[in-house]
Amino acid sequence: MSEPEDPQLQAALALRVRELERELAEARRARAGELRGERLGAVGQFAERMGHDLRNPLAAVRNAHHYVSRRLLATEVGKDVRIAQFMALMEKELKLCARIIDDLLDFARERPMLVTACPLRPLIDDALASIQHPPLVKLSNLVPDAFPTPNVDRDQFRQVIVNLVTNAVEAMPPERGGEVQVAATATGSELAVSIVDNGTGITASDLQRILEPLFTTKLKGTGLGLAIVNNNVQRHGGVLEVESTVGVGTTFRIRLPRTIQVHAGQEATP
Amino acid sequence: MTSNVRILLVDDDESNRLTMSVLLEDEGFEIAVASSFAEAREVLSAPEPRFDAVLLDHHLGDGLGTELVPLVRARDGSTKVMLISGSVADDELVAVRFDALVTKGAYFPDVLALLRRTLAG
Repeated sequence: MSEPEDPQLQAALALRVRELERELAEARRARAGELRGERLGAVGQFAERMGHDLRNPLAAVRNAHHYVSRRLLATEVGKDVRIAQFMALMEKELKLCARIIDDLLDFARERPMLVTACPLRPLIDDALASIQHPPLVKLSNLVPDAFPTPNVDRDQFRQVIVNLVTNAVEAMPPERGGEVQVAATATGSELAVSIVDNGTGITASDLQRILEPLFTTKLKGTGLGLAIVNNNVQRHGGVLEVESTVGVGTTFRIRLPRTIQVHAGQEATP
Repeated sequence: MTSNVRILLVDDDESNRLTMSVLLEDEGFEIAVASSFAEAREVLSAPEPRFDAVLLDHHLGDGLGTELVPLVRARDGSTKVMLISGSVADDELVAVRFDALVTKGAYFPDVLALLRRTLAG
């Protein structure tokens, strides 16, 4: 088919082609979003089913191990270095399994938020105290005592901090260690909490996908930890940002609005 | 001191019932067990023995643990009720008064610490 010679008609056609291309791109983006949503829904249902089915048997095994370990380590057999080593290994790996199941269930269920005023520095202290870390890795809480008190769901927000700091600890090269700092800043309209590490950093390509569910760079990870963190931050009306330089370190920043509509002790919608 | 502290453990999962009851006995508690809603109702319908606490699984195969709470309260108002549930968002939990919530699948040292706090409270 030959092109029309009328320049006005040509221009109109070109304009229409561009419009159609833009509409097509938007439709494709929307469909990709729908597919992602459907995929997440299916993953959520599967995660919940798996979590529920595995939790009871794992608890029985873990508690039985606790009993056997306590009894065995008090005997002559328990003095065998390998017995003590393997009992500790079993405990560590069972704990990891329990954490994976907790992640699956946290990802799958949307429990109502219980938003209350939570002084930030003690909340960070509490979160940092629960994190096991190598002696070469230093954890620092730089949030001042007088920092404005945010309104958050305490358990969910503590979990956000625990997950981000645990990731930062795991990003440290074991031979040199490093430092993870939790700091906070306040402006008129928002509060920002930063988790800063001087670990190995994240490559630009991983950085683009890091908040996607099921994406992981860890050998033993579900890829749900950061997706849960992101979801919890969004439920607070906040935004999770990340910047990283390979070999220098990573900063995760949680930006929260100062005015989350809450009634103390009640379910709240940010 | 945990001697003479009597606990009723209601759980329809045999493995969890066994491990939890043995571990609690190992800590010096006196343990009675019920493996179903019906069995628990039968135990709680008898006037004796007195229980200091009831560890009550919420989702029992033949009924909801929460429906046993009024029976526990009517029998002895001082008995502590610790509900074992998978989720704090469970709708049925809102309607009953319980003293502590044990996360389903919890590690024994955590359950023990919560039990001691609840008994002391």
